[in-house]
Amino acid sequence: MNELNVVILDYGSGNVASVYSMVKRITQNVKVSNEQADIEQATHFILPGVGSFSEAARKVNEVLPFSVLEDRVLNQGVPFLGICVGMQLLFTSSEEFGLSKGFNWIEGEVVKISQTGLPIPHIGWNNIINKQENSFIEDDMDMYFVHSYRAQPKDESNVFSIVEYGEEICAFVGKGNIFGTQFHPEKSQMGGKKLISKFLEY
Amino acid sequence: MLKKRIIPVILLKNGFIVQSKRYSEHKNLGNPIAAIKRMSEWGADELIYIDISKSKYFDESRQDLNNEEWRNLDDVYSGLSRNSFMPTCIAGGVRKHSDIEVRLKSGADKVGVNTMLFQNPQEVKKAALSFGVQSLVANIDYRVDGNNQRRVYVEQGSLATGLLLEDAVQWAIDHGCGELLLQCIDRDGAGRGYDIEGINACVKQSSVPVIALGGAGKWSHLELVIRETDVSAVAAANIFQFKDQSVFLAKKYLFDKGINVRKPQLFNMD
Repeated sequence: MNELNVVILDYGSGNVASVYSMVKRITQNVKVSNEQADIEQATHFILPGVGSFSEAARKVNEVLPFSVLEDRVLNQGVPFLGICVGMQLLFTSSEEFGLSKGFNWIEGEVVKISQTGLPIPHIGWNNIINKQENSFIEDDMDMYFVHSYRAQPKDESNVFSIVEYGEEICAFVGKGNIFGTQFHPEKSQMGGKKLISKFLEY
Repeated sequence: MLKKRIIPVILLKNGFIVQSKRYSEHKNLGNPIAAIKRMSEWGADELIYIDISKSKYFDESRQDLNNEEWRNLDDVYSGLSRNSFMPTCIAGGVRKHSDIEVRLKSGADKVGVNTMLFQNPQEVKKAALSFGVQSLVANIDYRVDGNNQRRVYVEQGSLATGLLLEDAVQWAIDHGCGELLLQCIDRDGAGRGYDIEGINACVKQSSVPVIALGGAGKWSHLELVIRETDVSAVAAANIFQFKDQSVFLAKKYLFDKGINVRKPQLFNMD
């Protein structure tokens, strides 16, 4: 296996430190950076995210050389993992605060979790139901969620796993070298560590 | 299905973990960083830190306890993200927008607001817009008065707001809190069970998740509040401090009783 060179992108999201600590338990070859030189050298990207979609989308465009990143991911096939809002950003747009545009790497919308009488935000540990067999998450593994919006991929084949919360909530998506988790692997103890390890093996 | 969360609360005073009884007596229980590791290994679903120091200064006279790892609260908070692979809420001493920001940056997933929510509500609302409602937990402390009314207190329970609990619940949600941590002060450290009636009323009223705190003296108290109400999470402080593998044992007790908790497991993150 080639030497890992993990770059955690930092648009100012609160969970960067936690993601860094988790990756550090797996490999020493990780840095937090938005520098073009690092993006050009990276073997894996992780985009942590938390909070608001529109705010995240705006900041990503402000602090990241986005076209360089997009070229690395879409044309050169460098594996990319988006976490929570970082996953939602992979999609076309979000209805949060009007309509905000995402990366459109995976077609679909981000919509509010439906009112079904359950408390919102959806906060806590929920068990994964795999829609497609994958090596990243075992079926029934509990992962930690905290969000009020959910992704709705246009193509069902992009949905690897869901959880139940009054309705089906998209938990893990993938399209080629691009992956996204609605849950927080960096806060999901062993299950989260395993998922990140698998991603780094991809 | 979403699991009922079991949440240990760690009270910090001048840099050490303390045990609390009705918000007044505090007994020193030691190293906060070691506690994070312990709770993580025992499979806690989440962790709540409440700093109840009256001053900003740490008790540096306690050189007998090994405190090289942390000299001030910032050290404790940065120790969090290095050692806690579970969600963490930090509360206590949060008065302004920047207090919230600092805590989120140092690795907290949520910040608890108490006095600020009632004395500076617009700043709370502003924080909800910048960081998202999921990052704000309303710590609502209340006492039951002589007329069986639940009244809300701030400043670590020392100052009455006059507000009824039900009004405070709505107030918190209206100002952007994504979760409520309800603590019945009368039951703090008493070990006679949770305020089921009060919690039940709040859960029915609230559109956001509710965490119950105050009164757990034995594992069956956790079971009772989960069975009798639709609470999202149960928190406790003292009961999780004194027994080895406490959180694991609590979850095992609940799991064996058929309660919908995450499977009890001991972890070693290394």
